[in-house]
Amino acid sequence: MDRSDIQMSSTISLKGVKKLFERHAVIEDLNLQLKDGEFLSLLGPSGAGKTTILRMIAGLEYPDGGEIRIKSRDVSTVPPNKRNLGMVFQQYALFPHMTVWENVAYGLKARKLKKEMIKEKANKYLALTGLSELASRKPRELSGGQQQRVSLARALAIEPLVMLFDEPLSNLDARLKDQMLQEIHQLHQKLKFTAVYVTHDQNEALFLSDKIAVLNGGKIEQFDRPEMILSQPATAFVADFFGYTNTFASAILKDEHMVSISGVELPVGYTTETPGSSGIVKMRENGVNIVGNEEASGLEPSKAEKSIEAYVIEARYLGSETKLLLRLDQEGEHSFSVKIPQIIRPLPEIHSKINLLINADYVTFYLEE
Amino acid sequence: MIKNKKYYTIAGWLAALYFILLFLVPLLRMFTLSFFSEGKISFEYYTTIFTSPVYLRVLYRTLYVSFLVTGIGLVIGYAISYFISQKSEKQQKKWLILVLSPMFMSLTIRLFGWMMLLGQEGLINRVFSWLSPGKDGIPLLFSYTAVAIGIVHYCLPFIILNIYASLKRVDNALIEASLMLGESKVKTFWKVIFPLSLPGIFAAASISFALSASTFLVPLMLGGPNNLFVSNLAYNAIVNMGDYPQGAALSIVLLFIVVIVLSIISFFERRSRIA
Repeated sequence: MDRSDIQMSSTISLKGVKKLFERHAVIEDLNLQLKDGEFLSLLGPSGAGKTTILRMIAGLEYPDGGEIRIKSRDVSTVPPNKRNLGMVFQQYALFPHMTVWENVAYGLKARKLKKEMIKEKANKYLALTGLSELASRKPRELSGGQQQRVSLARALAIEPLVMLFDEPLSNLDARLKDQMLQEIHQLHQKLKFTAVYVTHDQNEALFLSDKIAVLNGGKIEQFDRPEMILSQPATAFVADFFGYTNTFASAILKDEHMVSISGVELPVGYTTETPGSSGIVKMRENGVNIVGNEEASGLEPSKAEKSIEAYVIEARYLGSETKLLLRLDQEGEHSFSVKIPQIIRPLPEIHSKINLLINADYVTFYLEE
Repeated sequence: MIKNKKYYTIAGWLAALYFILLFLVPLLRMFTLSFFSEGKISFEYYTTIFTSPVYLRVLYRTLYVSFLVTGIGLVIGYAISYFISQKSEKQQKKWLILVLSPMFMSLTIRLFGWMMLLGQEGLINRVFSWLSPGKDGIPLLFSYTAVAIGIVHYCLPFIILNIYASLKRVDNALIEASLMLGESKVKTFWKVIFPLSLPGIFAAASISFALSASTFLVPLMLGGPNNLFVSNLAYNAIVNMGDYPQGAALSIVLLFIVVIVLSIISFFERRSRIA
């Protein structure tokens, strides 16, 4: 792609975008900016509106308010065939009556390029996706992974302004998924296309993205770089989505680094609330260890860690980990589960008391929702 | 489960038996009948058909009108099917019921309706004479045209059902993919939707041609004595003249031609499926 004339301004800009469904707003006042060459993931559970946003960028649906700009051109009412965007569909959407080559050349023919140019570009992108050998096959003769690569090559071949991905890996098995993730990532490194990627899988989003927009109920909960989302989840919803699966209700923030849950004090790694406020604590399952087990885990006691007491409700092995169901107090109001990254022998006895080291980086505090 | 399987096997055999006794046996009887004259094997009845100008003309008319009507039916049927397939799911159901509703009524009654529309004092001629007073009405009823109109009317629901089903099978994501790749809506229709609906078109053509070529009622009611089809001649031979072998031979010739045409269509249908 010739990219020398492209300035580093926003490639995609959504301002106050609104979408109604049967007179009910599914997306309201959405704002989003994406720089040239950036890889953005729209992440959220089903019904969060991520596909709707993607389809509005694509032009397959039109916003009921606000504006969408691509390369500073207002495309809010421009039909999809006039937007020059590449799209990779969940179900591949390959033309079944055409060969792999014809599929990849489809968009080039639509652009009325010269025959040699079509040939050159189609062959180039087939080679890039490792499909040259399969050029004369029909889609139904290909495996799912191969079909998705054709879909990728077809979208890339038109050298679009933006690549759009609609949950492209959700139909593939785990092994193929990893392989395709790697391939998409490498293609992005190589071609530096701007991308919007819709997924409900946080691992895909973390692996691929420069930026992630976490969506819930048609609103952006957090829009940031992956490491920021991992370490400083902005809301309890984001925390929950990224593995902070334990919740302690009725917690009181003592100071910026300490929270009290029914008298038990826990270290807090991230909060934006003021001391004295009451709310909920979210904690990851990992990043916890049993006192006396530090050496094996490599989790050294530091000032970020604090030892607390907990009571064992249940202890089981899970692969190479040990999963413990614990509670903070004897009455059992505040139960939580942790994963110790070793096989602990013997398993702690039920109802016994153990000392836990908590890594503050894995604990966050939010106001009650 | 095993018990169920047995039940289905028995039901299957009963159906086969029913089919053999009530369909294949009479057909075979017709076949043998047409080859025997006074107890001897003879091609007399076939020779009669292929040497008599009357029979040949009727045969030609039957095939010609069937092809014509199939072509017209496919064009009209495709347009209607496409129109319906573009509606919302709810609307589609309503439109389909509307299109298929004539099938719930006897063909005879529907053809009486056409007789009233096309007749000398019919609606169409009245509108015509109102538009250009003083001129005679156009003789619509008991003509070629009337038969063609009647058969199109008769076949259209079958055509629409087939084409609509094949249009529904075209994945919407394919249309979206084509648009995303920069193709216009019209080009998308010709490059994606139309080729993928070909199996439905061929299926519709088969049914339409078979129904047209074998129709008895439409030429009888709308065509009058000068526009009869092969099936009408076979009926005349058997019922009016008691000439069973001649009627049988006519039916077999018609059957043979229809089977050949259907084989050709199904050859193309299979090719379009693989494509």
